[in-house]
Parts: sequence; C-alpha cells; structure tokens
Amino acid sequence: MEDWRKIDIDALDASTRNKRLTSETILANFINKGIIHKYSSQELSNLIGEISARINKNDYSSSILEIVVKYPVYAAEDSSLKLHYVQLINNCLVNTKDIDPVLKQLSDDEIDVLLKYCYKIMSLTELQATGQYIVNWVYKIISLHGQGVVLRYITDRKTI
Amino acid sequence: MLHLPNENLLIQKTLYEALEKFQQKTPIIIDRIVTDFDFTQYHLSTVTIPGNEAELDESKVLLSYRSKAWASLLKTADSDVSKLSSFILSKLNNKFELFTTEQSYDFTILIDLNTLEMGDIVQLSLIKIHILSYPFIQAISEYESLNAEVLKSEEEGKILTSSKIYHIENRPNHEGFYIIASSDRITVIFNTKFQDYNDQIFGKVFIQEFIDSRKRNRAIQSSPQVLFSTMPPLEISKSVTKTNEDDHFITFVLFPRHFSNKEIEFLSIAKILQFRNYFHYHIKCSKAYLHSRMRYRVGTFLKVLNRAKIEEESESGVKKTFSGKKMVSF
Amino acid sequence: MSQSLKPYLSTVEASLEACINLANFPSQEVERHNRPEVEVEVARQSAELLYQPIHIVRNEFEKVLIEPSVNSLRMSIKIKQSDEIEKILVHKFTNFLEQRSDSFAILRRKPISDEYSISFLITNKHTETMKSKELVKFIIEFMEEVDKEISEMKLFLNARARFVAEQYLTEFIY
Repeated sequence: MEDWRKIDIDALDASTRNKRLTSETILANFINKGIIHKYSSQELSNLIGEISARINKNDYSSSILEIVVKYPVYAAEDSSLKLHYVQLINNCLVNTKDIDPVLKQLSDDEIDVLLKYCYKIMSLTELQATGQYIVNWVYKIISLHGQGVVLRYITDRKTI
Repeated sequence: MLHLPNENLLIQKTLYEALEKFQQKTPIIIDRIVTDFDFTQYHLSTVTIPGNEAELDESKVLLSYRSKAWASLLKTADSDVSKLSSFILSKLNNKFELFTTEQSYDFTILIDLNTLEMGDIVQLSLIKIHILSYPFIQAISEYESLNAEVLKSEEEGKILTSSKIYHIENRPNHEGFYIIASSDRITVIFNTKFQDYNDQIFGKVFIQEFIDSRKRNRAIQSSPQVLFSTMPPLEISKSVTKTNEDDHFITFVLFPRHFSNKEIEFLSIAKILQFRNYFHYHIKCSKAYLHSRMRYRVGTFLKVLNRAKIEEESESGVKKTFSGKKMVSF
Repeated sequence: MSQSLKPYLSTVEASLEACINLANFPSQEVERHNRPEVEVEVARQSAELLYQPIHIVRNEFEKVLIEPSVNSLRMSIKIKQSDEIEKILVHKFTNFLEQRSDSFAILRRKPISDEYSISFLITNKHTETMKSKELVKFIIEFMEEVDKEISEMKLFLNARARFVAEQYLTEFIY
C-alpha cells in the first residue's frame, strides 16, 4: 500500500454489520484466486471411475495413497457427484484392514487432507453406521501425528 | 415395604382406641375420615341419640363407606341393595346391623362397642375387600355349577364358560377389572392405564416379569397364569365398547386350587384386589429409587468437575491496603 | 473399557484438547459485549470467528459434535440408547443434570438439537478459572460413566421387576 495516507477510512468502517464474512464468500474467494480448484463434473467422474475400478479389484488402500490425498476435492460443480465421491472414499477407508502402513507412507500435508475427509464422512448421516472404522483412522492419525493435525483441521479454511 | 397390607390400619387403630377407652370408662368421641386405595373413603363417627341431636351415644360408632366401585357392584347384584348389604353383613359374621346410609356415602353400619371384640375389628378393617369380593364369590359359585355340569355330562375336555361378565369399575377413567367364570378356571382381567409414557414403559418391564417369572421359577409355577395385551382379550371383547390407546389389559387365570377352601379363597381375592395398587406402587418406588440414584451421581460428577477449578490462594492472613492492593512482605 | 470404546474416547479427548484453546474476544458487533461466538445465531455469525466443526461418530446412536470458535466451544453428546427404557433413563438423567446446570457451569441448559442428548458450552471464562485439561478429563469421564450408569439403572429396573413379580405370585402358593 503505497499511498496509505489517502485511504478513505470511512469506507473501511470498523462496523462490519453489513459485511459479515461467510464461509461461502471465503470459498468463492479461494476459487477466484485460484487457490483451490473447482472440479468440473467431468474431472470428478474421472476420479470416481478410477477409484471404482480399483475397488472392483479389491484394492482399497492404493486409491487412498494415490488419489484421495493427492487431489483434494474442495469444490465441485455437482454436489451430488461430490457426495458420491466421498461415499467411495468411505468405502475405501472402511475396507482397508491395515491402517498403519498406509499412514506411514503419507506426508504431513497428505495426512491433513485425509483427516479432512475423515471428519467430513462422519458428519454425513448416511455414512454414520460405519463410523467406528473412521474413528479408528482418526485415532491412529492422532496417535501418530499428535493434536496438531486437529488444530490444523479446525483452522484450515480449505474445507471439503 | 414390599407387600401392601390388606387391612386398613387407620380403621383398626381408631376402633382399638375407641374400644380401649370405652372399656376404661373414659369413652371418646370420634369423628374421623379415613381413606384407602382406589379413592375409597370411610367415615367413623360417634352416633347421636335419636331425637336428641345434641347428645351423643358414646357406646355406638358408625362406619360409612364410599367408593367408586359401588355403582358397578350394585349392577352385578341386579341393582338390589339389600342383596349386596346382606352379603357384606354376612361377611362380617352378621355381628353388625345396617344403619341409615349417611349422606354422600354408599353404605353405613352400626358398631356397638359393648359387644365389639378384637377379631371383629380386624374384619372391619378388611371391609373394602369384603365388599369387593362380592362378584368373586358370585363367579366362584358359577364355576361350581359349571364344573358340576361338565362332570355330569362325562364328556372329556369339555369346558363351559359363563356368558356373564362381572365388570367392576373402581377407579376413574374406566379403570377396573372383569371377572369371568369357566368350568375349570376363573379369569380376572384388569384394565389399567398409566399416568404417562414413562410409567407405561416401566409398567411393561414389570408386566413382562410377571409373565416370565412364572415360567422361569419352578417354585411359583402353581401361581395364577398372567397374560398381557393392549387390546381387550377375547373373553371381554364384546363388553368393552370403546377402547383407548392407553388401555392395558392384564389377565390373571385363577385355577380351582386358588379357591379350594374359604380361607384360601379369601387370600386369593384379597391378593388379586391388591394387584393394581401393588403394581403401580412398585413402579413409583422404582422411579423414586432411580431419582435418588441420579441425585447421588450428579454429586459425584460435580466432584470431578470441581477438581478442575483453579484453587484461589487462601485470602486469610493476607493484609490489604486501603485501596484493595495486597500487602506483600519480602 | 471395550476394545472399540477406547479409540472413540481418545479421539474425542484429543479433539477436545485441541479445540479448548480459547481466548477472550469481545463482540465485534456490539460494543462492550462479550458473547460466546458459537452461540451467536446463524444469520449474525462471522465465519472468521468460527472454526471447522468436528463430528466424531461411532454409529448412529453414539456420536459427538464439537463446534469450536475463537472464544468458546460447544460440545454435544448423543448417549447410547438401545431401547425404550434406555431412552427414558437417558432423558431423565440429562434432564436431571440440566436442571442443575447452575452448579455445573459448563453444562448447557438444553442440547443444541433433538439429535443430541446433552450439550456443554465452554467459554474462555471457564478456561480462565479452571484447568482445561481437567475439564476435558471431566467430559471424558462423564461420557464413560453415563453409559455405565444407564445400563446399571436398566439392570436394576429389570431385577426389581422380577423380584416384585415373583414375590407377588409367591403369595398364591399355599
């Protein structure tokens, strides 16, 4: 800000009464600035197809390692398609028997993404029946990485 | 207290007192209203001398009875008051006589303290059961004649059921019981309602145990069979015209062994008549216990929470300046 | 403690401990007001003051929701209720506690919605006068004990009903 003496402070009134910040504006801002990518239905379908193919081969953990944490879907054109995507991830998480080796291969940033998905899944009523499996994932993540991951989750504005 | 006593203790106590004082030549004047389960009310009062309202005859006491059941009892006695009263007097060994029925009461008898004995007092305190036993005695005599009929016909496995249904409504909201006689049993069906949803659920737990414990515990297999439904059972379905959602029907099947002689018959009737009160009383007891248990639990939770509080430094012994600042000595 | 209960409780514990970092934060809307930001009605909320809510779900019947914000956190628990009796007992018990919420300081008078049995509201005022670690401990112990208490009460009710029924029927044995 070069000419800060000329800022019209009346325009920047401290009263935020009429300009409340909402999570939608934050998200729109992120997309506009290119910080997060908004998935088109086509792109998301590709991801879904890839994961489904792996599930058909009874391969659950590789999708988590190679797709889920690498391409976090923060925004999508079609919300029902996104829900379907989350359901597939739930399927992968529930069916992965050996959690520890998977977690050991993930970087810190990837762990953060995985945790976002875990909390997202648990917030969906239709996926709550298998909640205990997801709790196990979260439990393992926290025991490996400490409470920092939870703190990063609650403060991160890039949400699933 | 696990069992509810059959006798009314207040009637007993009042009459003992009156008799004792009367025998000690220091008679007392009584005017006491006593209540019992099922909104039954008694009035014990010293008699006024006929023709002289101001004077009291201390040797005579009136016992008046009032109950919601009276109307339906009369119905089972073909609306014949004298039939019902002579039955009650006979139950009291014909030692007392009928008196002009006191206003707003159903039935009044005269007690003469000159001839009153301890045994009579016990019988008088059981008066409610004696009165309500009327339809049971009717049903038992019906059972006897039906049973004789079956024996005469020599047909094996034949069961006759009386078409007569004795229906007694002894509580408000159409709560009451039905009695039906058969040639091999007497069926008593209680229609009971619950105060609220919670009582209803608790009640179901209790009823289930009544049904199951007979099957589980061999020692009580000879007790009456217990059944439960929320719809009127077949036996009484034609006489129950309108049903509510909160109607609950509990059936007791009494077998001949439960009224094989007069003494057992009395005990069975008394017990059956206590059922509704016993049942609801124990639901209330359990609720009260759970309540006190929760109170205790809240206390222990509070203790855990208080552990979290940061203890303030003890203020005693710390001197303060006029403006409220602490004086610190080095 | 059962094998599957431990991950659930420790996850709740860790999540709570992470969220209980609360600071004093006066309202930016109303002068000289200081209100728990999670309790502000939705239309008046500002996103920058609220953090991501955390759902920890064991199954449809047992779950926890933690809603953190800059100066307060709200935690709601759904207590396990597998049948009608447990439902009544849980309802009675939580009612009982809520009526005494004055002495419980962090207890909310009502759960946030019908979905949950009981809610706690912890503000920076609480963490200033109480040790936050102990507060978390209290909530975890509460979750553990409530389950135990409910099932014990249910057992008691059944045992009592059985005893009462048997005693009544025994009177008919001559």
